[in-house]
Amino acid sequence: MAQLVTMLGITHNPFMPRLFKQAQQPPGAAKVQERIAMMRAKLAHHKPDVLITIGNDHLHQFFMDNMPAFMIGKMDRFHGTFYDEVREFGLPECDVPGDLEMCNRLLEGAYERGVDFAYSSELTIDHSIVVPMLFVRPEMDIPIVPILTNCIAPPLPTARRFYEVGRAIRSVIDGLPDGKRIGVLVSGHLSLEVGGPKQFERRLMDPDFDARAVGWITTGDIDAAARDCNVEQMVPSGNMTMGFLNFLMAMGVAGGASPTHAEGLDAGFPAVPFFAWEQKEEGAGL
Amino acid sequence: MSKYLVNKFMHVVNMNEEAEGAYVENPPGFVAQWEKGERLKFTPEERRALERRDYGSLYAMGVHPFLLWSFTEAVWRTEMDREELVRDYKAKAAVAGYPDFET
Repeated sequence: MAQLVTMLGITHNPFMPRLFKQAQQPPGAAKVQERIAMMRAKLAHHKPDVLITIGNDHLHQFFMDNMPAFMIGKMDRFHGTFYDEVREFGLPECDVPGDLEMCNRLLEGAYERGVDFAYSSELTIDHSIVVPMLFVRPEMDIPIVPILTNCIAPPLPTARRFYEVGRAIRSVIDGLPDGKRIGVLVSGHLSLEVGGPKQFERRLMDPDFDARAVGWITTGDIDAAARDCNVEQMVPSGNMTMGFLNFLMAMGVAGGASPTHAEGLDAGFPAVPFFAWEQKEEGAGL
Repeated sequence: MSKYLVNKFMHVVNMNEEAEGAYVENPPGFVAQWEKGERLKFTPEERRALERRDYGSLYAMGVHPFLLWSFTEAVWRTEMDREELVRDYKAKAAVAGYPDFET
Protein backbone atom coordinates (compact mmCIF):
# COMPACT_ATOMS: atom_id res chain seq x y z
CA MET A 1 0.00 0.00 0.00
CA ALA A 2 1.10 3.56 -0.65
CA GLN A 3 1.89 5.65 2.39
CA LEU A 4 1.43 9.35 2.95
CA VAL A 5 4.74 10.07 4.68
CA THR A 6 4.67 13.84 5.03
CA MET A 7 2.71 16.92 4.10
CA LEU A 8 4.19 20.41 4.22
CA GLY A 9 2.40 23.74 3.90
CA ILE A 10 4.47 26.79 3.09
CA THR A 11 4.47 30.24 1.55
CA HIS A 12 4.73 30.81 -2.20
CA ASN A 13 5.77 34.45 -1.85
CA PRO A 14 7.43 35.00 -5.25
CA PHE A 15 9.62 37.89 -4.08
CA MET A 16 11.44 35.77 -1.49
CA PRO A 17 13.83 33.71 -3.65
CA ARG A 18 15.39 36.92 -5.06
CA LEU A 19 15.30 38.66 -1.68
CA PHE A 20 17.24 35.81 -0.05
CA LYS A 21 20.07 36.25 -2.54
CA GLN A 22 20.54 39.95 -1.84
CA ALA A 23 23.36 41.23 0.36
CA GLN A 24 21.06 43.56 2.30
CA GLN A 25 18.04 41.77 3.76
CA PRO A 26 15.26 42.92 6.06
CA PRO A 27 15.67 41.78 9.69
CA GLY A 28 13.03 39.03 9.52
CA ALA A 29 14.45 37.31 6.45
CA ALA A 30 16.84 35.12 8.46
CA LYS A 31 13.96 33.69 10.52
CA VAL A 32 12.03 32.81 7.36
CA GLN A 33 15.08 31.10 5.88
CA GLU A 34 15.59 29.09 9.07
CA ARG A 35 12.04 27.74 8.85
CA ILE A 36 12.44 26.97 5.15
CA ALA A 37 15.61 25.00 5.95
CA MET A 38 13.67 23.10 8.62
CA MET A 39 10.95 22.23 6.10
CA ARG A 40 13.56 21.16 3.54
CA ALA A 41 15.09 18.83 6.14
CA LYS A 42 11.68 17.35 6.98
CA LEU A 43 11.03 16.55 3.33
CA ALA A 44 14.46 14.97 2.90
CA HIS A 45 13.99 12.91 6.08
CA HIS A 46 10.75 11.33 4.87
CA LYS A 47 12.13 10.42 1.41
CA PRO A 48 8.98 10.69 -0.68
CA ASP A 49 8.97 8.97 -4.10
CA VAL A 50 6.42 11.42 -5.45
CA LEU A 51 5.15 14.85 -4.43
CA ILE A 52 1.56 15.94 -4.87
CA THR A 53 1.98 19.71 -5.15
CA ILE A 54 -1.10 21.79 -4.38
CA GLY A 55 -1.17 25.47 -5.31
CA ASN A 56 -3.15 27.96 -7.35
CA ASP A 57 -2.48 29.35 -10.80
CA HIS A 58 -2.33 33.16 -10.64
CA LEU A 59 -4.31 34.02 -13.80
CA HIS A 60 -1.54 32.65 -15.97
CA GLN A 61 -2.58 29.45 -17.70
CA PHE A 62 -6.15 29.64 -16.42
CA PHE A 63 -8.25 32.71 -16.94
CA MET A 64 -11.88 33.77 -16.65
CA ASP A 65 -12.57 32.49 -20.18
CA ASN A 66 -12.25 28.93 -18.88
CA MET A 67 -11.61 28.68 -15.16
CA PRO A 68 -11.40 25.27 -13.50
CA ALA A 69 -12.26 25.11 -9.81
CA PHE A 70 -9.75 22.28 -9.27
CA MET A 71 -7.45 20.68 -11.83
CA ILE A 72 -4.66 18.14 -12.17
CA GLY A 73 -1.65 18.44 -14.46
CA LYS A 74 -1.18 15.22 -16.42
CA MET A 75 2.36 15.19 -17.85
CA ASP A 76 5.71 13.49 -17.36
CA ARG A 77 7.50 16.85 -17.27
CA PHE A 78 6.32 20.29 -16.16
CA HIS A 79 7.82 23.60 -17.18
CA GLY A 80 7.86 26.67 -14.94
CA THR A 81 7.29 29.57 -15.17
CA PHE A 82 5.87 32.44 -17.30
CA TYR A 83 7.48 35.53 -18.84
CA ASP A 84 5.86 37.98 -16.40
CA GLU A 85 7.13 36.04 -13.36
CA VAL A 86 10.68 36.12 -14.67
CA ARG A 87 10.31 39.86 -15.31
CA GLU A 88 8.58 40.87 -12.07
CA PHE A 89 10.06 38.44 -9.54
CA GLY A 90 13.27 37.29 -11.18
CA LEU A 91 12.14 33.67 -10.86
CA PRO A 92 14.21 31.11 -12.75
CA GLU A 93 12.67 28.99 -15.48
CA CYS A 94 12.75 25.33 -14.49
CA ASP A 95 11.69 21.82 -15.46
CA VAL A 96 10.28 19.37 -12.95
CA PRO A 97 9.64 15.69 -13.65
CA GLY A 98 6.03 14.54 -13.40
CA ASP A 99 4.63 11.16 -12.32
CA LEU A 100 2.15 10.64 -15.15
CA GLU A 101 0.87 7.33 -13.83
CA MET A 102 0.11 8.91 -10.45
CA CYS A 103 -1.52 11.91 -12.18
CA ASN A 104 -3.91 9.50 -13.93
CA ARG A 105 -4.59 7.44 -10.81
CA LEU A 106 -5.37 10.51 -8.78
CA LEU A 107 -7.65 11.91 -11.49
CA GLU A 108 -9.57 8.67 -11.99
CA GLY A 109 -9.67 7.89 -8.28
CA ALA A 110 -11.10 11.32 -7.57
CA TYR A 111 -13.81 10.81 -10.25
CA GLU A 112 -14.83 7.62 -8.46
CA ARG A 113 -15.10 9.60 -5.23
CA GLY A 114 -17.30 12.36 -6.61
CA VAL A 115 -14.61 14.95 -7.38
CA ASP A 116 -14.47 15.90 -11.05
CA PHE A 117 -11.09 17.55 -11.51
CA ALA A 118 -10.34 19.30 -14.77
CA TYR A 119 -7.05 18.16 -16.25
CA SER A 120 -4.33 19.57 -18.46
CA SER A 121 -1.84 17.76 -20.66
CA GLU A 122 -0.06 21.03 -21.38
CA LEU A 123 0.42 22.71 -18.03
CA THR A 124 2.99 25.36 -17.15
CA ILE A 125 3.40 25.79 -13.40
CA ASP A 126 3.68 29.27 -11.87
CA HIS A 127 5.14 30.51 -8.59
CA SER A 128 2.61 28.64 -6.46
CA ILE A 129 4.51 25.44 -7.25
CA VAL A 130 7.89 26.76 -8.44
CA VAL A 131 8.61 28.75 -5.26
CA PRO A 132 7.80 25.93 -2.79
CA MET A 133 9.95 23.57 -4.88
CA LEU A 134 12.84 26.09 -4.88
CA PHE A 135 12.48 26.28 -1.10
CA VAL A 136 12.13 22.64 -0.05
CA ARG A 137 13.50 20.67 -2.99
CA PRO A 138 15.72 22.92 -5.12
CA GLU A 139 17.15 19.82 -6.81
CA MET A 140 13.67 19.38 -8.38
CA ASP A 141 14.34 15.65 -8.67
CA ILE A 142 11.17 14.22 -7.11
CA PRO A 143 8.37 13.68 -9.67
CA ILE A 144 5.33 15.83 -8.99
CA VAL A 145 1.58 15.61 -9.48
CA PRO A 146 0.42 19.23 -9.64
CA ILE A 147 -3.04 20.15 -8.41
CA LEU A 148 -4.20 23.71 -8.96
CA THR A 149 -7.16 25.39 -7.28
CA ASN A 150 -9.10 28.53 -8.01
CA CYS A 151 -8.72 30.72 -4.96
CA ILE A 152 -8.03 33.91 -6.92
CA ALA A 153 -10.90 34.57 -9.35
CA PRO A 154 -14.28 34.72 -7.57
CA PRO A 155 -16.73 33.11 -7.43
CA LEU A 156 -14.66 30.44 -5.67
CA PRO A 157 -15.56 26.95 -4.51
CA THR A 158 -16.62 26.96 -0.85
CA ALA A 159 -14.09 26.53 1.95
CA ARG A 160 -15.72 23.23 2.83
CA ARG A 161 -15.28 22.03 -0.75
CA PHE A 162 -11.54 22.66 -0.55
CA TYR A 163 -11.53 20.41 2.53
CA GLU A 164 -13.68 17.74 0.88
CA VAL A 165 -11.43 17.62 -2.19
CA GLY A 166 -8.53 17.11 0.23
CA ARG A 167 -10.43 14.21 1.83
CA ALA A 168 -10.94 12.64 -1.60
CA ILE A 169 -7.23 13.02 -2.46
CA ARG A 170 -6.34 11.25 0.80
CA SER A 171 -8.81 8.46 0.11
CA VAL A 172 -7.22 7.87 -3.30
CA ILE A 173 -3.72 7.87 -1.77
CA ASP A 174 -4.75 5.36 0.90
CA GLY A 175 -6.20 3.04 -1.74
CA LEU A 176 -3.16 2.97 -4.04
CA PRO A 177 -1.89 -0.59 -4.32
CA ASP A 178 1.85 0.02 -4.75
CA GLY A 179 4.29 0.83 -1.99
CA LYS A 180 5.06 4.38 -3.02
CA ARG A 181 5.96 6.93 -0.41
CA ILE A 182 3.78 9.96 -1.03
CA GLY A 183 4.59 13.51 0.03
CA VAL A 184 2.24 16.46 -0.30
CA LEU A 185 3.50 20.02 -0.69
CA VAL A 186 0.84 22.71 -0.31
CA SER A 187 1.39 26.42 -0.83
CA GLY A 188 -0.73 29.39 0.08
CA HIS A 189 -0.76 32.23 2.53
CA LEU A 190 -2.45 33.77 5.52
CA SER A 191 -3.82 37.34 5.42
CA LEU A 192 -2.36 39.06 2.37
CA GLU A 193 -3.00 41.98 0.07
CA VAL A 194 -1.76 42.32 -3.52
CA GLY A 195 -2.86 45.12 -5.80
CA GLY A 196 -4.87 46.92 -3.13
CA PRO A 197 -4.30 49.93 -0.87
CA LYS A 198 -2.37 47.87 1.71
CA GLN A 199 0.02 45.99 -0.59
CA PHE A 200 3.72 45.73 0.22
CA GLU A 201 3.29 46.83 3.84
CA ARG A 202 5.91 45.27 6.06
CA ARG A 203 3.54 44.10 8.76
CA LEU A 204 0.96 41.42 9.44
CA MET A 205 -2.14 42.29 7.39
CA ASP A 206 -4.62 40.89 9.92
CA PRO A 207 -3.07 39.24 12.99
CA ASP A 208 -6.52 38.18 14.23
CA PHE A 209 -7.29 36.26 11.03
CA ASP A 210 -3.79 34.72 11.06
CA ALA A 211 -4.20 33.49 14.64
CA ARG A 212 -7.64 32.01 13.94
CA ALA A 213 -6.42 30.39 10.72
CA VAL A 214 -3.43 28.73 12.41
CA GLY A 215 -5.84 27.62 15.16
CA TRP A 216 -8.18 25.95 12.66
CA ILE A 217 -5.29 24.04 11.15
CA THR A 218 -3.94 23.08 14.58
CA THR A 219 -7.26 21.70 15.82
CA GLY A 220 -8.57 20.51 12.43
CA ASP A 221 -11.67 22.67 12.95
CA ILE A 222 -13.17 22.66 9.47
CA ASP A 223 -16.57 23.83 10.77
CA ALA A 224 -15.13 27.08 12.12
CA ALA A 225 -12.99 27.57 9.01
CA ALA A 226 -15.94 26.93 6.69
CA ARG A 227 -18.03 29.44 8.65
CA ASP A 228 -15.43 32.24 8.42
CA CYS A 229 -13.80 31.72 5.02
CA ASN A 230 -15.99 33.06 2.25
CA VAL A 231 -14.69 35.82 -0.03
CA GLU A 232 -16.70 38.64 1.60
CA GLN A 233 -15.35 37.69 5.03
CA MET A 234 -11.75 37.29 3.89
CA VAL A 235 -11.22 40.40 1.71
CA PRO A 236 -11.24 42.78 4.73
CA SER A 237 -8.28 40.79 6.10
CA GLY A 238 -6.42 41.48 2.83
CA ASN A 239 -7.77 41.22 -0.70
CA MET A 240 -5.87 38.00 -1.54
CA THR A 241 -6.39 36.21 1.80
CA MET A 242 -8.36 33.54 -0.08
CA GLY A 243 -5.00 31.86 -0.78
CA PHE A 244 -5.47 30.37 2.70
CA LEU A 245 -8.08 28.01 1.23
CA ASN A 246 -5.32 25.75 -0.13
CA PHE A 247 -4.43 24.92 3.47
CA LEU A 248 -8.00 23.77 4.08
CA MET A 249 -7.39 21.24 1.32
CA ALA A 250 -4.30 20.18 3.29
CA MET A 251 -6.49 19.82 6.38
CA GLY A 252 -8.68 17.47 4.37
CA VAL A 253 -5.69 15.43 3.24
CA ALA A 254 -4.52 15.22 6.88
CA GLY A 255 -7.86 13.65 7.77
CA GLY A 256 -7.92 14.70 11.40
CA ALA A 257 -4.22 14.15 12.12
CA SER A 258 -2.65 16.93 14.17
CA PRO A 259 0.12 18.94 12.54
CA THR A 260 3.61 18.58 13.96
CA HIS A 261 4.23 22.24 13.14
CA ALA A 262 1.72 25.07 12.65
CA GLU A 263 2.76 28.68 12.58
CA GLY A 264 2.08 32.05 11.01
CA LEU A 265 5.55 33.54 11.34
CA ASP A 266 5.75 37.26 12.05
CA ALA A 267 8.96 38.26 10.27
CA GLY A 268 8.09 41.85 9.50
CA PHE A 269 6.05 40.87 6.40
CA PRO A 270 2.52 39.61 6.03
CA ALA A 271 2.45 36.36 8.07
CA VAL A 272 4.54 33.53 6.60
CA PRO A 273 2.76 30.17 6.97
CA PHE A 274 4.60 26.99 7.93
CA PHE A 275 2.62 23.79 8.47
CA ALA A 276 3.82 20.18 8.65
CA TRP A 277 2.18 16.83 9.15
CA GLU A 278 4.56 13.90 9.49
CA GLN A 279 4.50 10.15 9.77
CA LYS A 280 5.42 9.36 13.38
CA GLU A 281 6.81 5.91 12.77
CA GLU A 282 7.73 3.96 9.68
CA GLY A 283 4.72 2.13 8.27
CA ALA A 284 2.14 4.20 10.14
CA GLY A 285 0.03 6.81 8.35
CA LEU A 286 0.03 10.45 9.32
CA MET B 1 -19.24 47.24 -18.07
CA SER B 2 -16.97 44.67 -19.70
CA LYS B 3 -14.56 44.10 -16.83
CA TYR B 4 -13.78 40.71 -18.24
CA LEU B 5 -12.39 42.20 -21.44
CA VAL B 6 -10.24 44.69 -19.51
CA ASN B 7 -8.84 41.79 -17.47
CA LYS B 8 -8.20 39.90 -20.70
CA PHE B 9 -6.34 42.86 -22.19
CA MET B 10 -4.15 43.21 -19.09
CA HIS B 11 -3.53 39.46 -19.09
CA VAL B 12 -2.29 39.58 -22.71
CA VAL B 13 -0.04 42.60 -22.17
CA ASN B 14 1.33 41.30 -18.87
CA MET B 15 2.30 37.88 -20.15
CA ASN B 16 3.75 38.71 -23.54
CA GLU B 17 6.92 40.74 -23.94
CA GLU B 18 6.08 41.79 -27.49
CA ALA B 19 2.57 42.97 -26.59
CA GLU B 20 3.95 44.76 -23.54
CA GLY B 21 6.46 46.64 -25.69
CA ALA B 22 3.92 47.54 -28.39
CA TYR B 23 1.41 48.82 -25.82
CA VAL B 24 3.95 50.94 -23.96
CA GLU B 25 5.19 52.44 -27.22
CA ASN B 26 1.74 53.50 -28.40
CA PRO B 27 -1.08 52.80 -25.92
CA PRO B 28 -4.05 54.17 -27.95
CA GLY B 29 -2.81 52.50 -31.15
CA PHE B 30 -2.28 49.14 -29.47
CA VAL B 31 -5.66 49.26 -27.67
CA ALA B 32 -7.49 50.03 -30.93
CA GLN B 33 -5.69 47.32 -32.87
CA TRP B 34 -6.22 44.69 -30.16
CA GLU B 35 -9.91 45.51 -29.69
CA LYS B 36 -10.54 45.04 -33.42
CA GLY B 37 -9.76 41.36 -33.01
CA GLU B 38 -12.22 40.88 -30.14
CA ARG B 39 -15.91 40.07 -30.33
CA LEU B 40 -16.55 41.78 -26.96
CA LYS B 41 -15.93 45.55 -26.82
CA PHE B 42 -14.71 48.03 -24.19
CA THR B 43 -16.94 50.79 -22.84
CA PRO B 44 -15.64 54.31 -23.64
CA GLU B 45 -14.46 54.66 -20.01
CA GLU B 46 -12.56 51.38 -20.11
CA ARG B 47 -10.95 52.24 -23.45
CA ARG B 48 -9.90 55.66 -22.16
CA ALA B 49 -8.38 54.20 -19.00
CA LEU B 50 -6.36 51.68 -21.00
CA GLU B 51 -5.25 54.33 -23.49
CA ARG B 52 -3.92 56.36 -20.56
CA ARG B 53 -2.52 53.40 -18.60
CA ASP B 54 -4.68 54.85 -15.83
CA TYR B 55 -4.33 52.30 -13.03
CA GLY B 56 -6.35 54.38 -10.58
CA SER B 57 -9.43 54.35 -12.82
CA LEU B 58 -8.96 50.68 -13.68
CA TYR B 59 -8.75 49.79 -9.99
CA ALA B 60 -11.93 51.74 -9.25
CA MET B 61 -13.75 49.83 -12.02
CA GLY B 62 -13.16 46.58 -10.15
CA VAL B 63 -10.66 44.90 -12.44
CA HIS B 64 -8.70 42.07 -10.84
CA PRO B 65 -6.28 43.71 -8.37
CA PHE B 66 -3.58 41.03 -8.50
CA LEU B 67 -3.47 41.27 -12.28
CA LEU B 68 -3.73 45.07 -12.26
CA TRP B 69 -0.66 45.52 -10.07
CA SER B 70 1.46 43.18 -12.20
CA PHE B 71 0.24 44.93 -15.38
CA THR B 72 0.87 48.37 -13.88
CA GLU B 73 4.39 47.46 -12.84
CA ALA B 74 5.06 46.08 -16.33
CA VAL B 75 3.83 49.08 -18.29
CA TRP B 76 5.20 51.88 -16.08
CA ARG B 77 8.50 50.38 -14.89
CA THR B 78 10.69 52.11 -17.46
CA GLU B 79 9.12 55.52 -16.82
CA MET B 80 8.43 55.66 -13.08
CA ASP B 81 10.57 54.89 -10.06
CA ARG B 82 9.13 51.74 -8.44
CA GLU B 83 8.77 53.26 -4.95
CA GLU B 84 6.92 56.22 -6.41
CA LEU B 85 4.72 53.93 -8.50
CA VAL B 86 3.84 51.80 -5.45
CA ARG B 87 3.04 54.90 -3.42
CA ASP B 88 0.84 56.46 -6.10
CA TYR B 89 -0.93 53.17 -6.91
CA LYS B 90 -1.77 52.61 -3.25
CA ALA B 91 -2.99 56.17 -2.79
CA LYS B 92 -5.32 55.86 -5.78
CA ALA B 93 -6.53 52.42 -4.71
CA ALA B 94 -7.24 53.76 -1.23
CA VAL B 95 -9.64 56.33 -2.67
CA ALA B 96 -11.66 53.55 -4.33
CA GLY B 97 -11.52 51.14 -1.36
CA TYR B 98 -12.35 47.55 -2.26
CA PRO B 99 -14.51 47.34 -5.40
CA ASP B 100 -15.94 43.89 -6.13
CA PHE B 101 -13.57 42.26 -8.62
CA GLU B 102 -15.75 39.28 -9.51
CA THR B 103 -16.42 39.04 -13.27
